[in-house]
Formats: sequence, structure tokens, C-alpha cells
Amino acid sequence: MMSKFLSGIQAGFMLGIRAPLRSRLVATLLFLLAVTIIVLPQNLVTDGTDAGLLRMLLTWTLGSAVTLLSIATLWAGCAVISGDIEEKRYVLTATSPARPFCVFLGRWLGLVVLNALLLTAVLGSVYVQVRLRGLGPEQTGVLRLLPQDPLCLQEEADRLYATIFPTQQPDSPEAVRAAILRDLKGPLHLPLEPGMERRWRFFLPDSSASPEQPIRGKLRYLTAYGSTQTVNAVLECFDPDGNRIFSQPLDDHRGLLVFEIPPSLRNGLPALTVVLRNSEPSQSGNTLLIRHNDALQLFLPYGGLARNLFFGGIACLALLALLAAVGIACGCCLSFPVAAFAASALCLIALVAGNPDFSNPDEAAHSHGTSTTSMLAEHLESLSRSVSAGTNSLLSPMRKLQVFDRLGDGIALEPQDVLCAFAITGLLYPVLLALLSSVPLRRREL
Amino acid sequence: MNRFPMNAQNQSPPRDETRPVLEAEHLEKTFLDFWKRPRVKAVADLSFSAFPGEVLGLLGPNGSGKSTTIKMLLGLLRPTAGSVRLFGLAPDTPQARARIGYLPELSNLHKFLTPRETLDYYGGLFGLSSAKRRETIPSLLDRVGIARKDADRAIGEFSKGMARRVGLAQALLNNPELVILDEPTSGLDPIGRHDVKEMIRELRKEGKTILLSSHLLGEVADVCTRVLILVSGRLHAEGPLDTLLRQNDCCRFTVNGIAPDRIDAAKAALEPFAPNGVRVDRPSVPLEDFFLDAIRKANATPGTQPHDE
Repeated sequence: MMSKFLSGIQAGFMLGIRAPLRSRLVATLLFLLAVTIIVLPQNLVTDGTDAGLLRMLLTWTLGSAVTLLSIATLWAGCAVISGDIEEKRYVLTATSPARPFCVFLGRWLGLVVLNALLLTAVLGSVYVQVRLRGLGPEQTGVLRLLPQDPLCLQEEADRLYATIFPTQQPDSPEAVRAAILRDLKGPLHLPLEPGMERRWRFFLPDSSASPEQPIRGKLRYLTAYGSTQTVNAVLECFDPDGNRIFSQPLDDHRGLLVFEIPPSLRNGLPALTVVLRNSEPSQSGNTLLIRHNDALQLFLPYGGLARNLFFGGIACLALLALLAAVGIACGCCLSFPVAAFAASALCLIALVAGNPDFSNPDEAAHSHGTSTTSMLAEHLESLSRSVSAGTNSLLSPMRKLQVFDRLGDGIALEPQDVLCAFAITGLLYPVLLALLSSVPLRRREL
Repeated sequence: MNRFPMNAQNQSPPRDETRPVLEAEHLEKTFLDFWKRPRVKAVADLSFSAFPGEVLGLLGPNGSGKSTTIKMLLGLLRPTAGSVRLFGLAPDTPQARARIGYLPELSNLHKFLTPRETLDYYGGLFGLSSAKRRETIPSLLDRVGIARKDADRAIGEFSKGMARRVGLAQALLNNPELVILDEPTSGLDPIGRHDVKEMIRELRKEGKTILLSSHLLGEVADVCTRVLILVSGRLHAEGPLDTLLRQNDCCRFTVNGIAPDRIDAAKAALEPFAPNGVRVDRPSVPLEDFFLDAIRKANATPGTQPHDE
């Protein structure tokens, strides 16, 4: 029985490869990709720096190529089964013993393999272009983002609570603690008043990893009076025993402090605590504004561009695999033009609804204030929040990767995160869609 | 006059006690509109069976429900009422489908595939191993008259008749026990039609059951053992062909070698026995036999080779 199962998938796979190749879809795509990633980038306008050029090359070319492939994959997926049904070809497949699930998976696999080949060509082309532009390993080295200790955030919230309410407790202390934690995690810039400090704790990798490399750091901040105004603040690093090992004043860094911790200072340490202290006199009112969750980032050098492109390619392939499955699923239920429209609309809704800047459920709840709303509006708001939360959680493995931002900024994509995203987004979801789609496909009258 | 001359090959097979291959009981199909209101009753209270070794003809005018019936038998449409069993199983089960071959009226194959690739694809769907497919496909293509040189041409380049032959090969790919053919000779030339009829006879000899739907009554008469006639979705007539077509109130004598001046005498001798009169005519060869004979003779004559399509 397993061999019949695999035989059905293999048959669908071969057809899934041949159909796009022989329908000139692949040839057309190759032509458009060549124009997008080879011809158009010749006129890229950059900031004149190597980093700027690299960022533009990677984000523009990869972003455009993946967008093209996404559209083509989604629509090709919609045409796969709906086209066969409309042209009366599916009758012969439906009267065979092959299960609809196997037919779906086989055709899906064909699209995924084709996408993998095209992505490989795109990534190879991008890599060659980077080298031809004279960007060597020095300019294209990749940095690994060191992970923050999530417990530190809770401790920081507790510490801030104790600072704000040293003696008198508020009416609902738990709600206030939760609000502080939410603010620390949120996208808003929070004030760092004179005399106050913020803490972060980072895990350091095994000292055998890049032992000769310094830890590089970036701190992004704003001042209350714009970035031209300097604030007397200092950034300090402490080992787990509380010994200060590094110190750097902010001075006039115009909102971005870049620093390096020499390797001799960090070897053997399992973790590092970083403290930013506003040293201004309390009457001065000179406040720093920082977005706690991502203000401070520490990096270690971690491989080269090729490795990062490889994992970036896997992440993009996961997205394309999901789009292929969505397209085929829509095609199982609807005729081609309607399926293509529905699939495109679903993707657009997922893109918009899941964007945390657009609809952060917690922010939205606050922003509406206390104005009275009708029951219908409340239900709609609740539905909107559910859709947004559901989309966010479904797509969180992919969103967490931030593929293009990291590639452009030269930040390493973590293999375990990429493989997890691939397993969930690129394999699990399509298999679930195949199972769900087999129901309408089996029940459809031909 | 009996318009459909019978031959010994079309006699009904002895009905044995084996289980029917196909059972349809009180089948009904009503198509609904968008608001789920009944729009048209395509099939009403249709019951029939098919036994191993039978060639069952399904006849009827346009819109009589033949295609709808076939689709219900295959599980492509759900009956509004009634039931279908194939080999004792529901028609949409993989076990039943593995034993069926189907040639639809419009067998639109993937135009970009070659006949070999098409059969390889459907062979995979039927769960045939790659070794089995490699072994079966060339002989199957030969059987349906696809030349070796055409086996690797895209089907989009074929004529309708050649594409139909590929469809026929697809229907026989899994060596089915029940073969359902909807207008199998559509688009085929007379030689092709003859070949299909021969193939149906061979399949019958192999013990397969064939359900044949066709508008070409001559072809049905040539190969079927039993027919069903549908009119407006209802079964109008059903039974073995020899029984249905027999004219019981007259008989025919075929006299070979009689001299022309003795014909009148022979007629006069019979007239006392025939109150309704005696009619004399000269039997004619069926057009198909005449055509095939002419082609054979032409091929045998040097300098008159057939052209490729």
C-alpha cells in the first residue's frame, strides 16, 4: 500500500515538473528573473558605502526575485488542479485509485523542486554579483546576533516597578507589572530618566566559537530634544559576578552607538549583563528614549555570505512551498480565475493582518480609549484581533526570521530557526492543506 | 427488414451464477440550481446489472442520461437516490477503481505529454511499478495502433483519432476487469473503428466486462451482447440484442447460387405459406466490410501506399 501511495505522489511529481517546464512558465520566469537581478541592479543608487551597496544588492535583488517567484508560484498552484478540472482532464485522475491527497502532494512537490532550482540560480547570481562588485570577505562577513535572556526582561520589569513604586503600591499591582512588561516588549520608545538605568543580559556562545573575534554591539537611542543634543550617559558591561569589564560613554553618537568588546575580556564568560545609565543630574530633564526590546544588539562574527544566503534560500523556499500549497488548495475548490483572486486576497490579508505595526492587538485595545462602541463594533474588533493573532501565530516562525533585514544587515540566520520555519511553514502547513483539500476534491462532482 | 444483421459472435453469453460486476439499483439523479432547487431530473429509477464477459450497450438520444449514468457508476456524480456497487464495493473506493478502465467521451489528455509519458503518469496513479509500466506501455501502444515513432511526440501534435487511441490505451493500462467506453470510436477512421471493435471482442474473450455507450448503432449491434435503451432518463428497453431485434413474425431464407429465372418460381412456391406476402431482395455486403476489403486490396497493389495523417 505504501508503494501505491508513493507511486501516486511520484506520478504527480513528474507531471508537476513537466507542466511548468513545457508550458514556458519557467522560461518566462528565468527571463524576468534575469532582468530583475542582473540588468536592473546595474543602476542601483546607494549611499556610497560597501555596506550600503551590499544591503541594496541583497534586499533589492532577493526581494524582487522572491516576489516574482511568489506570484508565479501562487498562480501556477491555482492552475494545477483547477485547470485539469476545467479542461476535463481531471476525470481520468479522479477515476484512478490514487487518493486526492497523493495527487495534491505530488503536484505540490513538483512546484517546490522547481522553485528550489530557480532560487538556487537566483542566489548564485546574487553571490557572483557581490563578488564582481569587489565586495570581499571583509565586507560581506556575517555577524551572529547574541540571544537575550528572556528572564532578564521580567526582572527588568520588576526592577522598574520597584523604582516607580518604592513604597506606595498601586491599586492593582499585577496589572501595573503586566503593563510595564508589555511596554518593555512593545515598539514604543520609553524614557530613561536622569539617574535611571536599563539592563540587558546576553548569553555568550562557547568560547571556542570565534575565540579571536571581538563582540560588536549597537545601541540605538533617541534624545528628548532630537539626536543633535548629547546626553551624559554610559554603557557598561558586567560579568556574571558583577565585575565591570567594559565601559563606553554615549558622547555625541547621534542616536547610534557602535562599540566593540575585546575578545580578551569576554573569553570563558557564559553571559554578559549590559547596563545603560543616564548620568544626567535629576533636575536637568535630559531624557534618553529607547525601545527596550531591540535597542541593544550584540554580535559575533559568524561565517560568510554564502552560508547566510544558503539559509536565506531555505527560508524563502519555505515561503514559496506554502504559497504553492495555498494556490493548489484554492484551485481544488474554485475555478482558476476565482482561485487566483482568492489566493492572492488571502495572502494580502495575511500580510496586512499579521503585520504587528498595523494591528498590534494590545496597542489597538489601548488606542481606542474609553469611547463607547456598539456591540457590532466590539464583535468586529474582537474578530479582527482574532484574525490578526491567528495570522501572527501561524506565520510567527517565518516572521521571526526577518530574512531580508538580516541578509541586508549582514546578521546571521540561525540554522535551527530556519529549519524550524521550514519544517512548519514549508512542510507541515502544506501537508495539512493537502489533507483539508482532499475533502472538497473528493466531493466535487465532475 | 432486420437492419442489424446478427452474427454468431454476438449471441448472449450463458448467464452464470457469478456475482454481477456492476449493480445499479433505482438510480436517480436530479441536478439542482444555485439555490438547491431541483432543476432537471437526468436519470430516474434506473436499475441494471452487468455480469462478467458481457458487452453491455448503453443507447439513447442526446440528453437521455447516458453520460450521467456512467458518471454515477464511476462515482464522479453522487446519485440523488439509489445505489451503485462495482465488484460489491462503492464506486469511489480505491479498490473498485483499481479494477476499472474508463474512456470518457472527451478524453482531454495533457497536450504537452507524449503517449509514453501519459501512460507512465496514469500507470503511476494506478500504482503500477515502474518495471511493470516499462513492460506494459510499448505493447499497449502497439495494440491501439500508435506507431513507435509517434510514442514520443507530444499529444498536442496528434489528430483527434490518434489522441483517442492514446485514451483507449489509458483505459486498458491497469488490465481492468470492467471497461467503460463512452463513444470509443469517436474521431476514428473506419479502420480504427474496426480495430476497436476487434479489441472489444478480444476483451470479452478475456472475460472482461465492457459497458459501451455509443450513438453509432451499427457498432453497438456488432459487438454488444445486451443493450439498455434510455429515453429521458428512464430505461425504455433492455435485454439481449438477439432477442430485442428478432422479428418473430417473419423469417429469412438465404439461397445461394439460385438462377435468376428460378426466383419467381421459388417466390410463388412460398406465397401460400405467407399471408402477408413474400419479399425478395438481394442481400448486400455491409459498407464497413466493403470498405475494409477495398483498403486491403489497395494496400496489396504496389504504388498505392497509405499516407501518414
